[in-house]
Amino acid sequence: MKFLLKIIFLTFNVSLLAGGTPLEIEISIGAGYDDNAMRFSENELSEAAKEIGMMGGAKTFDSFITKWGISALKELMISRKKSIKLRGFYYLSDYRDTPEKRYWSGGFDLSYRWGSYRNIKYSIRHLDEFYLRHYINRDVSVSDLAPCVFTDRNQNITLTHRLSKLIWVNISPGYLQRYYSRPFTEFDLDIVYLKGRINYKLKNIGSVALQINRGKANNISYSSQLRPSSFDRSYETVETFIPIKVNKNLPMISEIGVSLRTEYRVYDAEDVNDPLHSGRSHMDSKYDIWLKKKLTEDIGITLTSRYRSRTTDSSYSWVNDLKSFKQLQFWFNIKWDLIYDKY
Amino acid sequence: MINIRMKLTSALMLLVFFGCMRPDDENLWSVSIENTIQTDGFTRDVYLQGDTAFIAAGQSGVQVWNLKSSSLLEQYESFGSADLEDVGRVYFDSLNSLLFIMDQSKIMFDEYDSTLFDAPTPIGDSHNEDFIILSETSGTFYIYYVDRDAGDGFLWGQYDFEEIPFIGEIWQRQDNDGQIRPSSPMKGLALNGEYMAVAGDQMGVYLYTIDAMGSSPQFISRIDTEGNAENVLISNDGVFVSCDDAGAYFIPIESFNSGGIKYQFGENLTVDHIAVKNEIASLSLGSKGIALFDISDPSNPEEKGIFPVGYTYRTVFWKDRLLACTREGLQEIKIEK
Repeated sequence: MKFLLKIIFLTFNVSLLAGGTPLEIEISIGAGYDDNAMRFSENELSEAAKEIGMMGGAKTFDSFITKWGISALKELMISRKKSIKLRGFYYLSDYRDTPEKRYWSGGFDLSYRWGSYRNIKYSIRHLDEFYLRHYINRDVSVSDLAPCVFTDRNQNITLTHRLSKLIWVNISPGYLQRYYSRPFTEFDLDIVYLKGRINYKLKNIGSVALQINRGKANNISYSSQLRPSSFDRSYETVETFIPIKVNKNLPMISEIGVSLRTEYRVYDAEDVNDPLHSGRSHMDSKYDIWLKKKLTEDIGITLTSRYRSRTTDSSYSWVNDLKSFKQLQFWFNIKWDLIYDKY
Repeated sequence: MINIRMKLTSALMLLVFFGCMRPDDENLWSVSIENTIQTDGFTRDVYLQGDTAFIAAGQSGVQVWNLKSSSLLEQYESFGSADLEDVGRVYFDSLNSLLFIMDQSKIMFDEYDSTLFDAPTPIGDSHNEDFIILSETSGTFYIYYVDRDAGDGFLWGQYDFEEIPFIGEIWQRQDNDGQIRPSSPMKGLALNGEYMAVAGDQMGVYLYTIDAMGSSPQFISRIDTEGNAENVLISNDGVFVSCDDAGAYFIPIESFNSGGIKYQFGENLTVDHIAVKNEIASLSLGSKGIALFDISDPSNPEEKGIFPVGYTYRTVFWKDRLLACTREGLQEIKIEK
C-alpha cells in the first residue's frame, strides 16, 4: 500500500506542476455514534456481558466515533468539453470506545470526461484493517479469542452515459479483494461484481436513482482439507440501492435525502458439517437519511443517520439468532473547501 | 499536454498492475486422511511391528491388522470364557512373543499363538492406567505400571518363564518387585534410555532414573503442571506432558535437576496424549481431534492447526504418516507442511 500511496502522491505532484488549473482540496471533520459497534446479535449481547473477551478492549457495546479526512481534486482541461480528473482522498476513523477499531481508508479516481454525463472512471479504494470483533480462532484453539480484522481493496471502472436530458446511466464492473489478517485468513474473499445504475433528474426537485449490484464472492482460502475452519464461505449477492435527493427550492437547508440499500446474500455452502453457512441467506437493509447545509461558499455541514438491520435465514434457529443484528448510527460532518492555485 | 497524458497513462497502468493486494499466509499445516481401518469398536491404542498393527479396539477386543493391505489378520473379543472389557492399551513383546493388553480393570498377557487369551496371565489388581514392558533376553520380561489408586501408585516387577511342578511351564512373577506410593493417582508412564517419567495427575510429572532393566526407579524430582498431568512422553530433548484443560508442557531434562523451567503450549486445550517425531508434536484432543505443533524449537512450539479427525485417544507416527486412534477407527493421516 505504501507503494500505491507513492503513486498517488507522485501523480498529484505531477498534476500540480502542469495543467494550469487549480487544485481543489477538501478537509472534513466528523463525529458520530454507533450503538452496536461490533454488530452483536441479541444473543451475543447477552453472551458478551458474561464473556467480556468477545469485546476485545471495549467496555461498551456502543461507541463514539471521530473521523477526519482530506481529499484533493485536480482537473486537467483538454478542450472545452474534454477533461481528465484526478481525485485522491484519505480518511482516518477512530471508534473512541472500541480501541481496536481505528482504521484509515483512502482512494484514487482517474476519470476522462468527454461531455456532460459522459465519462469513464477508474477507481481504487482501500480500507485498511477494519476491525469487526474478537472471534475464537478455531484453527489453533478451542477458546482463545483473537481480533478479526480485514482489509478491502476495491477497483472498478465506471462508464457513465447520458440517455436523455433527464436520465443517465452508470455501468461499473469491479473487483473487490477482502482479505483478513491473521489468524482469520480462511475468510479471504475475491468478489467480482457488476453494478448498474439509472439516474433520473427530477426537475426543480432533485434526483432519484436505482442501482443494482450483482456480485459473486469466491472464498479463495477455502480448501477441502481438514481444518475446523475449512468451510466454504463463497456466496452470491444482489444489492439494490435507491437514493432520493431533494436539493432544489428548499428553505433553510441545501439538501435532504433518503436512501434504502438492501443486500440479499446466499451462501454456497451445503455442507451439513457447516451449519453456520449451509443453506444460509440474509437480508441486510440500511436506511439512511441526511441533511446538508451550506454555511458559507466554502463550508458545509451534513447530518446523517443510518438504521441497519440484518435478518438471517437458516434452517438452524441458533444461526438466525447469531447472525441477525440491528445497528443505529448518527453522524455530524463539517467540510471545508480550499483551492490551491499556484498561478 | 502529451507529457501529462503519458504520465497519467503510466500512473494508471501502475495502479492497475499493482492495485491488487496479496492475502496473508498463516503458515498452518494441512492434513488428509488417506485411509481408515474400521475396527467396529473404538480404536483406543495401536502398537506397530513393521506393517502389522496390534489394535486395542475397545469393546471389540484386540485386532491385528496388516496396514499395507488394510486386512484384518486376527480378532480376539474374549479371554477364557469372559469378554474383554473395553481394551484400552496393547503391546507386543516380539522377543517373547507375548501380547499384553489393558482393559478397564487390569493388565493381562498371553502367548501370541493359536491359544491366545485362552488362559491369560493377569498383572495388577485393578484401575491400571499405563504400562511399559522391557525385555532383553528370551524367557524374561520386566513390567512397570501405574495405577489410578494412589495407594497402588507406581509398581514394577519381573516375570520369568519357569517350570512349575505339577503345572508345567508358566510365566512366574519374581519376588524382586517394588512399589512407590505417591500422594496422587498415577496416570501415564514413559521411558527413554535411563529416564522414566510418570504423569502424576494433580501433582504434575515425576522423573526417575533406572540403572538397568527391572531395577528400582530412582527419584530425581517432581515438577508441578497447571491442570492434571494425564500422560507423558520422553524425547531426546526432554519430557512432554499432556494436561487436562491446560494444554501441554515441554520440560527439559535439566529442569528436573535445577531450575524447574517448563514451557507450556496449547494452553486452552485438553490434551490426552502426545506423540513426537521429526520436530512434529501431535496432541490428541479427544472430541476435538488432533493438534499439530512444530517443535523445531521445543522451548517455543509453534501451533500448526487443530484437525477434526474424530474423537482421538492417541496418535502414533508410522513411517511418514501419523496414525490416529479414533472412535471412527484407525486413521492414516498425511501431514502436509
